Amino acid sequence: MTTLKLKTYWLTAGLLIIITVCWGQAGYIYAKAQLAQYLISDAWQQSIISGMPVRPWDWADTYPVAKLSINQAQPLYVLAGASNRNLAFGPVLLNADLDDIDYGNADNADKAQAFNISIAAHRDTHFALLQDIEYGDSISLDTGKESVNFVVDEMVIVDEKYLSVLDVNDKQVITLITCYPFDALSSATPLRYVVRGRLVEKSVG
Amino acid sequence: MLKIIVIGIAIIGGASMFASSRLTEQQDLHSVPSGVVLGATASMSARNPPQININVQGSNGLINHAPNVVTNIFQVEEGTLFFDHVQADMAKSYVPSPVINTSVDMQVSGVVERTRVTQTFVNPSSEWVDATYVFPVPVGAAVDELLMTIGSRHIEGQIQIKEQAIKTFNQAKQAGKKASLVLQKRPNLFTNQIANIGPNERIEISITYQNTAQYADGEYSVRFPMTLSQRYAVTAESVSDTAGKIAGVDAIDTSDMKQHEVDFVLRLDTQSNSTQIHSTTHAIESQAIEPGVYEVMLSQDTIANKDLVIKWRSAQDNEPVVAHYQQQVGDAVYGLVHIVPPQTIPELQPKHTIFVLDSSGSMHGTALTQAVQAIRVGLTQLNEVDSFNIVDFDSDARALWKGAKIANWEHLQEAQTFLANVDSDGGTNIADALQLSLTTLTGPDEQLTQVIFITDGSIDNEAALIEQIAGSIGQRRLFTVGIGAAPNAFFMEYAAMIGKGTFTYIDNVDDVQSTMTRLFDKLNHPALTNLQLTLRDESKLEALKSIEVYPKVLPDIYLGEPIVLSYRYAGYLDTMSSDLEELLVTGQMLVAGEAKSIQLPLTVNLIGSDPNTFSLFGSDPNYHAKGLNKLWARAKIKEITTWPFTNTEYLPENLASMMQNQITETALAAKIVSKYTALVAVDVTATKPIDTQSKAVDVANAKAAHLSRQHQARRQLQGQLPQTATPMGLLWVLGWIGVLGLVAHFAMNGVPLKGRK
Repeated sequence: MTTLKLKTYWLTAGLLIIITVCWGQAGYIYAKAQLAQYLISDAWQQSIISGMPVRPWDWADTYPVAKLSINQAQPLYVLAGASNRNLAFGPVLLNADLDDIDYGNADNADKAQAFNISIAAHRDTHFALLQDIEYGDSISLDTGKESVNFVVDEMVIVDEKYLSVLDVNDKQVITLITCYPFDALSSATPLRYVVRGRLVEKSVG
Repeated sequence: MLKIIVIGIAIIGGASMFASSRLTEQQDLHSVPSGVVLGATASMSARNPPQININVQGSNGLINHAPNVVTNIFQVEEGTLFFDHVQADMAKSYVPSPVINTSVDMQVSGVVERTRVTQTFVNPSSEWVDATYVFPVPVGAAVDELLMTIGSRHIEGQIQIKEQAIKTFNQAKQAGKKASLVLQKRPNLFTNQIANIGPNERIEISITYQNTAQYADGEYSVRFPMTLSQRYAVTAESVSDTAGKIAGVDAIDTSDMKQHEVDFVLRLDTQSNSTQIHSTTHAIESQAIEPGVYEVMLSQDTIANKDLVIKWRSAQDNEPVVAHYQQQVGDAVYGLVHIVPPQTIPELQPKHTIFVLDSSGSMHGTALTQAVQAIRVGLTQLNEVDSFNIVDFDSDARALWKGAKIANWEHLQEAQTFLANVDSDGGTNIADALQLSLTTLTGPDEQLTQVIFITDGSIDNEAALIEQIAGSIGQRRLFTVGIGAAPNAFFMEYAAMIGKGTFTYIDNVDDVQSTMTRLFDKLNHPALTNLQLTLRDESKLEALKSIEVYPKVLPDIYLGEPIVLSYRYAGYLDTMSSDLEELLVTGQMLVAGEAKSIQLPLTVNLIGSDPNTFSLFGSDPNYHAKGLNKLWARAKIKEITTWPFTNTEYLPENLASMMQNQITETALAAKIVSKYTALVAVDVTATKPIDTQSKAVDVANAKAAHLSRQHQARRQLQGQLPQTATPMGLLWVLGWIGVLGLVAHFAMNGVPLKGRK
């Protein structure tokens, strides 16, 4: 009888530990994603003032390169360097940098140079909002020097190996990439949800 | 019974929780252990996604019902004809026209392949149209012939400088003449623009290219790129296995395009009566039509839905096998030399391996895990006679030991401990790591030093580093291993080339074991090294200068890999044999642990004194032996494209124009399509009524912009788009399963606290 009780105890304790650790981990991932954005927003402000890249914390291997606003949602700070660690803290820029992009003038778009700004983020934290995006929604990107607005005109689901979504075609576009399906349990799904916005206007800010 | 199930779930949940919490720091974006029941369910649903049909181009009302509109012609991998399609807002898109029939006539003699692809299309509309034909070729092939038949007209393409060809084409187009223009868009993708095709006209397009058969693991193979490999919804694995390939088009219904039949004939001349022929991709039938000559066909009319690969194997040999072909073209002799190392595994030779590990901040997470795992696998591949060392670098570089140590148990343990403590942070100072591994650290004398450099290559001073490698490589070999979602393959490929090694890309953690094992199989058996083309009669070495050989630096040949040399001799076959007498490839081969000098006489297998007698195509007068000079030109152009890293002849500011001139000159002489040359065909008479407008918009500028900038973001990533999900959802569900388990447990056994007294 005592052995049964002992077993019962262990089982209870074990299950409690499982619950705590699982939910603890989930909470940690979520909190990290949210809190990091606050620290990064400070770094962003400083970098606008100083005109230099500012690391959000001392040991960071990255810095914010742009502020991304999708519709009326809380702005997201885009980090340089498409590494897994950076993705935990915010959306990442897949382009090497934004320096050589010529946004041109929307009035004579023919003469402007084509570009494709590609940004990726987690489907369950920063880019969870992409699942609700619709045609005609607005995306704006503030690079510190310029603020450019895009309107969503394409949504595609592609395989993870379909790198062509990063190609520069003849248009001026922004490409937002996240994992698909949004509610999959596995974090290693082979599909990506891609939202494409085309440039509509530019204001010097 | 129920209790057992509940406990089972709890244990599974607990195990996966434990595993995933351990992995979270390193791998919080990657897969959870797949043995978990839940994981399996989740990935099944991911592989069979619900009906997804979002796309195409919201701006012009084509959402969900535009099966055959492709907005970017570079999305195509199958040879496909697009009719330029003008839409209301003038945004251009392309409509694939139905393919009626494809016939492929492939001729292989030894290792020289010549393939003619003939496809018949129809213009189903009642309008005059301009069309763009996009066709893939195997990487390394030289496209040199275009024959277009429209109705009763045959138009043969001429090679011209690209600008000139475009001008010629546009003039003909304006004048209402049928015209065609073949351009190289990427090394393995060509486009053919056709102007002024009449209503309901049939178009037949023949394209001919020259190539060499591949050789790997004792077998020769040829590949015909029948179609794009796979669309996303079919299976995820096979979409693209090489960097240059273009992946499938999303959400576009291509069932029409896929259904056409392919009529394939291969005439294979192996000069061996015991050739075994098989295909890994399609059902084929083969029969000997002459001694050593085989005819291979597809068993039934086959749907062109995947690349066709045909492999063959002849009698094996313990000696290196040399094939040597020569051909007189004009006043020059062109040659092709193909050397296959012996099939027997050579004796193991003690070697010195230096592993270099990039532990900079950019490697954090999965990339570092993969890199460390790669070295761990590497360590298990060392033999006890080998010596090794490890260099770990971020902002500066550190070696495990000051000098190499032999790979005994004790030292391997020390290395494992060292790897366990590697942490990723700081910058990427590759220069210091190269200095350490290529110069400072030394191994035992007489041992071949192989440096295995594992990095994501996120650096910006590529040119300086390449220079450093070129200056310090000496007798060492540099093997680069690309890790992570975004390795800089561009840098690493060149680094390996300069370092006489190879570049290996590991795109996911599951492949570390197999990829590294394969790499070490190679490294453990350097079959033939220090190869050089020379002459039997050393007094005539001066005459060797009259031979232009590519590649200029001969790489080492490893087990199961061949080497292909192309050369050009300015003169005639008879003067060549009197001037040079006998060509040799010298080098070293390992026999019983000793490096033995070898000499491979290049006996000529096939000679053609003129194109009509040296025919790769038997008695078919339509084919001439237009082979070896084109392969030589292709090899030379490949060499020229490495000039930015190897050039010492020209000033940097002149380099670009020198490269362009040389490539243009080489391609024009050999009449092949290249980056700077194009094939253009113009009909003599105008056939389109003057007052009719062809449905087309010129998109040349847009395409040029596309090509010049397409790699901007893409170069940062290779292999796949970043993995963008956390295990948060899974952890959440596992937590709930724990709660359920607890509840079930209490329900069955009562709350344990009660019974405690």
